[in-house]
Amino acid sequence: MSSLSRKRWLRNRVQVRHILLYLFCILVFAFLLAPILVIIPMSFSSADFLQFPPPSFSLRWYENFFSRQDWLSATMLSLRVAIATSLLSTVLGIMAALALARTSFIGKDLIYAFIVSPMIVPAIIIAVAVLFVYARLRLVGSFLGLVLAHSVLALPYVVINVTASLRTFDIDLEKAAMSLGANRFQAFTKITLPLIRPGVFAGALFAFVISWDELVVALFVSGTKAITLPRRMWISLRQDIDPTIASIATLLVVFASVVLLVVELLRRRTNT
Amino acid sequence: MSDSSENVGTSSAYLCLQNLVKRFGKVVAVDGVSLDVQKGEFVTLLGPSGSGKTTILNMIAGFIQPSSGQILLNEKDLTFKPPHQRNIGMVFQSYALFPHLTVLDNVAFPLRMRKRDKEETARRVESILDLVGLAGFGERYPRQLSGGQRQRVALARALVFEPPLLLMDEPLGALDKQLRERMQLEIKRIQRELGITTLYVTHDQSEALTMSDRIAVIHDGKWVQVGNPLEIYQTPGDRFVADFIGESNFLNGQITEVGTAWWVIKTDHGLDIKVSAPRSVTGRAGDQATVALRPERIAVFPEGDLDNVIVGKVTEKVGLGDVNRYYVQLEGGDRLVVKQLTSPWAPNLVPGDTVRVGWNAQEAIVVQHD
Repeated sequence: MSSLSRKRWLRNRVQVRHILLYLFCILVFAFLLAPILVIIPMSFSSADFLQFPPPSFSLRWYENFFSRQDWLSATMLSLRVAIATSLLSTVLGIMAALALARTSFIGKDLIYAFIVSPMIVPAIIIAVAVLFVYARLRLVGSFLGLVLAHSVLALPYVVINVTASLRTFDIDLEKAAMSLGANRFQAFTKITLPLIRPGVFAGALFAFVISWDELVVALFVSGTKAITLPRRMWISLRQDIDPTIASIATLLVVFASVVLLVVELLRRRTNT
Repeated sequence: MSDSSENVGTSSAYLCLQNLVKRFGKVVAVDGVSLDVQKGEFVTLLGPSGSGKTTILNMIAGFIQPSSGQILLNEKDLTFKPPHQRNIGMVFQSYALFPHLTVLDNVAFPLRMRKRDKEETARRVESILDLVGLAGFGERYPRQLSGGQRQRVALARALVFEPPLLLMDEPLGALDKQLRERMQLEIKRIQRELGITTLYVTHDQSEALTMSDRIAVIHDGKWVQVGNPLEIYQTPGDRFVADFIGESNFLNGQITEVGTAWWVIKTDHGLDIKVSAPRSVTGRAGDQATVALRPERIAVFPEGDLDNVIVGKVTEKVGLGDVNRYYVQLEGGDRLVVKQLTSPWAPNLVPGDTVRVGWNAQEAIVVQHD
């Protein structure tokens, strides 16, 4: 290529407006991520208070988190609640999604709106309402209470994800399976479920993360006996303000990043 | 004029549909349909979209419950059995192959549902894949197959468990013309070799004529005519059949003379034509009647004596390669379409030519009479 045409080729490939676009995007991401990224170095700080920039490197606050019983039991409780919520809302969500996708009846749109409403209604309204009911049923501060409340919050995400998967699912496949000798349940487990698995997985993962991170409802409903990790962090923020919070936050960021990565990889798989 | 013969269930038939009715709210999709199918027969349900043929098939398969009526297979009442207990093989229009399973797993599925042992399953799958011409394709996935190959897998899967009945719902609709014609013969070959009773649904009348032992023409949820392909083509029972199957010229007019074997009808344009008298109807002078005449039964510049010879003028010519279609306007105003093979000894006409056309009384069929 002559030098003149090479310049032209370069100019076409690396245009000014591309560079500006990249710069702009980097700035936006920096603005959005900076508050979160700042926490990470603060978690490795040796200071007694939250301090940025940190004076020196230390793992003492990570040690603090892993050695104290109240932190660990809060973490274990959150884990158990999140798993249970994921299971419950996934099972219910699949059933709801199937019913909504396969049948038509009066009021179906209303029911769909109702199921999805926790996504729109402010969490605090749900929290207060749930507290009212739980107070009567003596469910405040109970594992079951937390799981039920979190499932209500997570259900819309499961239903939406599974419904999306069902939309691309050819119902003739179930009919074919039945004509070949599979009863309804077998047709569902052997044919439908494997094919809507991406939507189910995504929904279950969403449900887990929502329960794991959930603070507002937990604040009202966890009472004194069922303190979840977010609630414990909230207490620590108001009482301690030591960088343990930062180390936990860093761990949570890493955890959430891994979860999102898994979801994205799953999503890529379904598109092949 | 039409009749739905060979109904009224006799239990000697292998598949017996008795007065099937299906209503969706106020709409009657299937209106009292009865049919006897013998063992090993290939029967096609032929009709336009919305005629009810797929609804009938779905009722036999068990996906739709009839509003009333009965379905008997080998003398067993299937009417209210759930689909997975009916032991009927079905091929869907979209093939419905399980995309997450290999060809082998797809075909083995019904055998595994029936808990057959591994050796027998492997043997049967291999033999059926061989029969449909897909030996060695076991490890492939449906997405790696062409349309014709998927079609064969669907067929293999529906036949591997040796069902007493095979249902096919417009299976060749998605294929191109040449592949479709090849598959028609393939399906017919396999059906004959296995001797399996088959019910085939299509809206393509040439497909029905090619493949069937018998055709049941359906319109608005009712049988219009049931018979073998030759009968249906040569003696259409009514105007709908004459129009839907093949092509027909229709001449309307009034009966002027009634003989024992023929009638004379004066068309609305004043032409007198001699037609064969229908067997089951007695006509009287003055009655209105419609006559169907197939374009290929009309001779151009006929030699010898024909019952009807009329002079006309060619108004248009459409050449289709193997066939020429001439639009001819007869004296008086009646128009006819005449079809001629483009063979070296056929006359080559152009628009504007004066032409003599003729046909014998038995080529024209009375299809409507009031």
